Amino acid sequence: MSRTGKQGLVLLLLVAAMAGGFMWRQHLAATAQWTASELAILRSLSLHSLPALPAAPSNLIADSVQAARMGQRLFFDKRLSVNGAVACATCHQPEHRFTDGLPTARGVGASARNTPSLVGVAYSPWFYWDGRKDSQWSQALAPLEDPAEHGGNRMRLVRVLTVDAYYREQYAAVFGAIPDFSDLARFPADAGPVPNPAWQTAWDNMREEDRQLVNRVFANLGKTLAAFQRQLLPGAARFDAYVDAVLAKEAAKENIFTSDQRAGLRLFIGKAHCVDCHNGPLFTNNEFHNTGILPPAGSVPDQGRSRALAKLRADPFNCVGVFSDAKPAQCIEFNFMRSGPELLGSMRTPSLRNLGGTAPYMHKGQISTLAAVLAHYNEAPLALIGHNEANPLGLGASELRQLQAFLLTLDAPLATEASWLAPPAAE
Amino acid sequence: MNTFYKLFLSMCLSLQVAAALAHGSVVPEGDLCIIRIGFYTAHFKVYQPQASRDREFCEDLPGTGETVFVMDYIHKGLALVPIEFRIIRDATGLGRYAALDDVLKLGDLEPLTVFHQSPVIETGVFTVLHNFTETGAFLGLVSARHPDTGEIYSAVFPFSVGFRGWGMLPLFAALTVLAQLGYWLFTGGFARWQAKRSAAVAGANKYTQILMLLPLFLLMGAAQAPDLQSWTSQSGALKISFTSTVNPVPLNEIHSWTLHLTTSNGTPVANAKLSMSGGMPMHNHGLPTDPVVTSYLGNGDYRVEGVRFHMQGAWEMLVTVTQNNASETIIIPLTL
Repeated sequence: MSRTGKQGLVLLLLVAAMAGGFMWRQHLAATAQWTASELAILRSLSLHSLPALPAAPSNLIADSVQAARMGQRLFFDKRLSVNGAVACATCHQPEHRFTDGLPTARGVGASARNTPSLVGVAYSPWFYWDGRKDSQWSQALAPLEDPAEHGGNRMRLVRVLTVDAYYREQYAAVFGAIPDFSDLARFPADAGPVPNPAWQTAWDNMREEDRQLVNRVFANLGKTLAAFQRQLLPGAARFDAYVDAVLAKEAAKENIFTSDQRAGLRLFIGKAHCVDCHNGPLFTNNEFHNTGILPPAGSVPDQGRSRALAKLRADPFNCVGVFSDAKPAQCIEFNFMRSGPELLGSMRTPSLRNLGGTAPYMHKGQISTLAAVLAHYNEAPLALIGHNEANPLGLGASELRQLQAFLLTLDAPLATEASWLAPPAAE
Repeated sequence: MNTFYKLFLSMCLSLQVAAALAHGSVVPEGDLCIIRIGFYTAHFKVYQPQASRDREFCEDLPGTGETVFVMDYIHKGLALVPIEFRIIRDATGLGRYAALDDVLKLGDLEPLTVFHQSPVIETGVFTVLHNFTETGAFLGLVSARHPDTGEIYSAVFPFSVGFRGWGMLPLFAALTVLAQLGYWLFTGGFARWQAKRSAAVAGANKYTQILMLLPLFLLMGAAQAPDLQSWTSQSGALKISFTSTVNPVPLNEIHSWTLHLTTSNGTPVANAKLSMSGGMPMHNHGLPTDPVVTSYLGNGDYRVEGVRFHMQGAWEMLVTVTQNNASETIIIPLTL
């Protein structure tokens, strides 16, 4: 054999050995036993670790079923929009895990951000991608008056509660008799602190005590919507069944995970660092991180949480405001919230439960597929504003595929009873 | 032959030197570009996210299309002043040498303006978006009005969009690489590489031995790691320990701590001024909350409210103790 031929052969063998070694390592990674610390992480991610719903001190009726049923009806009621065509459920669609499948939401107009899922959101201390609301009831009020979403005003909204016999009765049962708004001189048809100049003027011309009367009913409307949304909880997924099997040492049942899914899980809690932020049984720490997501066409980078803090402090419907049922000392998250340059361009970590059914991803729906999301984190590009907290991962194509296989095991029907997932039957 | 290659390489290199010149008020500093608006300074970055994702420019842009200009304030005063941003077609004919005086000579800027952001206060970072529809030479004008004196500080930065191009540079680069490769092969680089590789295989044995000992070292380390309940300040004068209202210290749950402060011999320290912050050194970020030492409970105990951890891993809590106008910091390491 010539010298070149020998060299070629050596090279070929070397490549074959490397490929074999790589595959063997992959195989080992997929089948290896979980260490004690890995088992502790698996347990912490399982739905069994989900505690009871946190108390909502700012909303006394948060756990009232009657209030939740009223909130459910409101959630599906299109009369809560200026054109009679938009309900909360228009974007938060039960059949899509309470998302809409669009990059950015479409209500009466075009909204700036992606519709987040509502499943398990009651566990978060912050609401919206940028956390500019600190309670579910306060959050529920904002879309109703947002010109891009329901496009309404609070005067018109609270009047719906007085003219509809069901709402009037339920309101009385939950909060006490609803005020009389029939005097159009005191309570015009349309009024509210919104970008519409006519409605704003009408609102400014109302007496202060009348405005507060309207604000009180408006806040209560939000509290029933929050009571309903507290019912929306994730169900056990294939991942949870796998963890059960592993913890119970039932080797046979562990087969519900393929070797790719197992390897993906190992990457998720290890080398890929996903679990740094997507931790706990809802796969989110509900905190704010900048991960260098590029702005979509036509927009500057979103400043996220750093812009939200001032809004939150000035919000009359925040935890320390007069419409909150909490004592100021109970507003712990609000009282100790952090500001600072670290928050520039940061958004709230979303839950990964039901990830497969909630595309497109990111705060403006910039990334349409899970594979592209993983490619983004693998690359960890520079952030246009602020700093990307994530580091490049250097994962290979097969590892990205394994991660994706694992992430798709987090989809499951809600744990919530079906009677909550559709408009309530007519009275 | 050798001389020829060296000459050729140095020729290729000299072609690139011209690129590193300042552009008006925007000057390169290491990897960054800095814009100087009077005494105000900011990191200046330009992106074309739709065309080139996170690639950063600070002067000439490769093509037309959506362009994001970012000013990341170095001088924090910029967060308090109205900033105006204007892009005009370069009618000075001076290209990269255009300065503020030349712009002032142009008179009315409106007919030349392709983008204008009227003065606005941006507290976090200043960003504007412009979609360039044509190539050419442009001037960026940034001004900031001082809140007290009313004086207006301005910056001018000339830049070009698209037309300059790379010319023959890619061809030269390819030739350079080929030439380098040719030189390497010609001078026996492949043989050297082969020799080095076989030496490395022999050397690897040594490393294997050390690696085999590594678990032993780790075990020894683990056995020796003392199970400390208290931590000492740098001077050694103070000791601190903590208890949490939730045990073990929880993830994603806001809770309180009680810090127990004593002198080195265990005497409780009363009524010192304490503050606590913390962060993850490996992740280069802080706590998700701002904890506050809210009360002194007696017996050297201080209550800290608003403690929250949002990631597992190694944390460091920094407790600063101030007594008699002197401060000391005690670090409490904590692994979640």
